[in-house]
Amino acid sequence: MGRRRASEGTKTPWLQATARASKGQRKLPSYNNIFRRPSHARIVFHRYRLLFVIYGVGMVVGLREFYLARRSEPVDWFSDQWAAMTEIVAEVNPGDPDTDFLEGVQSMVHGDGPGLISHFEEALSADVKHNEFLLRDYAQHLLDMGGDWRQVNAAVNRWRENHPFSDETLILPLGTGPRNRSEASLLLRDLRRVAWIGNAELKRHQAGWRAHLSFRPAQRVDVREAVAAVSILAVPESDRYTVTVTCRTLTDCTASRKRGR
Amino acid sequence: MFKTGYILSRRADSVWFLGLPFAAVALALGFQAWLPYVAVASINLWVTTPHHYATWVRSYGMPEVWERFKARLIVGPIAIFSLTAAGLIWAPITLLLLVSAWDHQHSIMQQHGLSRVYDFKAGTGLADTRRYDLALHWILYGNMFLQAPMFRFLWIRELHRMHIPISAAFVEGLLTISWVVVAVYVVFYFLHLRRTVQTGRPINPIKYAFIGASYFLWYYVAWHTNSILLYAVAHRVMHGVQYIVMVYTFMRRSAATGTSRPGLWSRLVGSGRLRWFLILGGGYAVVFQLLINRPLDEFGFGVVNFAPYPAIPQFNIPALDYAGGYELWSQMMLYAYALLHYYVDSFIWKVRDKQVQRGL
Repeated sequence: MGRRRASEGTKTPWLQATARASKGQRKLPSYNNIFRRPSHARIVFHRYRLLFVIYGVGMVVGLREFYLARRSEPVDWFSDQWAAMTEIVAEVNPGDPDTDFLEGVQSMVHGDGPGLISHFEEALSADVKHNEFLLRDYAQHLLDMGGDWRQVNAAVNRWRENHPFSDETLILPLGTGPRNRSEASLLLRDLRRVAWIGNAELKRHQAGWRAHLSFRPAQRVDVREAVAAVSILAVPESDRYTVTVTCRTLTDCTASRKRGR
Repeated sequence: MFKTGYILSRRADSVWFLGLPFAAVALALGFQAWLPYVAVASINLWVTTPHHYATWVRSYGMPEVWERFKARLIVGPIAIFSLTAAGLIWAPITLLLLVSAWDHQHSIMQQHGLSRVYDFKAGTGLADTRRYDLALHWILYGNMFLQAPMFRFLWIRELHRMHIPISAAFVEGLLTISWVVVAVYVVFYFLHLRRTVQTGRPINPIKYAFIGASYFLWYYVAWHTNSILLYAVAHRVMHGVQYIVMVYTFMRRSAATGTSRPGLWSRLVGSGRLRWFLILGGGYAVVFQLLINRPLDEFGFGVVNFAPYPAIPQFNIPALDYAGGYELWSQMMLYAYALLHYYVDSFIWKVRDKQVQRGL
């Protein structure tokens, strides 16, 4: 029995079938049934070929990404590859808003503030709406540079109108910031009372404290209200619950007694 | 030489297959001018997500399709969901590229499939016309993908992210080759058309009007790089609406000719049932949006917003962001279901009720 199986294993399917047929075991199958009948693996491949092809290519690319992610630095805005990519895009896509944005990012990486503003404003002049990085970073840069409150408000509102459900936050520098837990909670309370602020978090950075502000959709943003809220710490401790701070600009704020008190 | 044939009818094709691409471009230009970018998410919800629902009805809701492709309809979701989860963990950039690449392939295949229907309905073209058509679609779409500044930026960026640096000269060379391939293939295709006519087979001009309209949309919006909004809106409207129209027509005809056994699909076709098909599609989009924890406001094109939860200073309650709002909504659902249970139990379990007594 074992010998017969071994000898069958050396024959072609056609010879095996012929041998079985000659022993009266089975009707002689046709040539086509033996050689043209697809194997089970072939049927499975044929049935799922789209998945095999797409995920086969995906696996190759994925393995490369997996390898690169562990062996090299990511290609981000500060990497050489990103700078090289920007140069090529600038050459093949000159004058494109996204190219202006990429060039603005390179200006930012090199600490060229005016270059950043110039490139970003060039991109924004084309009425770009899709590039959230552009809209957000432009607003943030204006705020960081102490820009005119009208410009800052316009930039923040433009960003939030186009991306109202984005989790990206606006960062408000606080300088020295809260000195204790009580001041921190007072600050957060006042920030969260601002109509357009969805949430506020305080984080300590090298240059001091910062408030990370998230937004409530469909609310007109006035950054002066946030500045007024954080200015409460500049008010003497004894007056903090009896005064209201209002800001005319991003730097000119006044405290006045609350009405009805 | 020419023989016209329509997928639906002369009038319906003029609207859904020949006119829609132009209307979609006009709509997208309007969106670009007057609406914020969030309108893309709204189009997704109103068109793209319901067009997925149409697929589920057509595949899982038609008994013949389910029985014929049962293995694929079971194995497919398991494999795709598993590999998507694996991609998110180990190769997220690849996953995004894969979704994007498959989306492009899918778009090509839908327009190719509809072109095939035109030939099928009119009885036009040669046996191998489908291969020429498929190559035409790949070459025209591939050329757009390589040439259009919007896509050019994307593939150059992704190649760099994969540490495959390319030079500007290489890109320029590739773009030139791409145009040459288009030009050569168009000549090649015309030779095929000549062979078709010489063989005595007719040509369906409506098919070419359809292909022309589709590529007008893609080429026009892909070169408008000031905003991806334009491409996203126009493409999704064309792709999604044409698909939904096709699925519903197929089901309606299957019902009329009695070629398919009844199932979920047959409850959604027939006189006065189109609205239920569409309402279910909308409902599916709502459920899907809640499932992925995205705000329902995205239905509103950035114009209509549900009132967010404002602060109530009198009770020292701060305003809620969307995560907080969703938690509140979930809590409200728990309470509301409990209250409904209390209410219903208050009248269905009266022991003095004769009907209740019979079941005890």
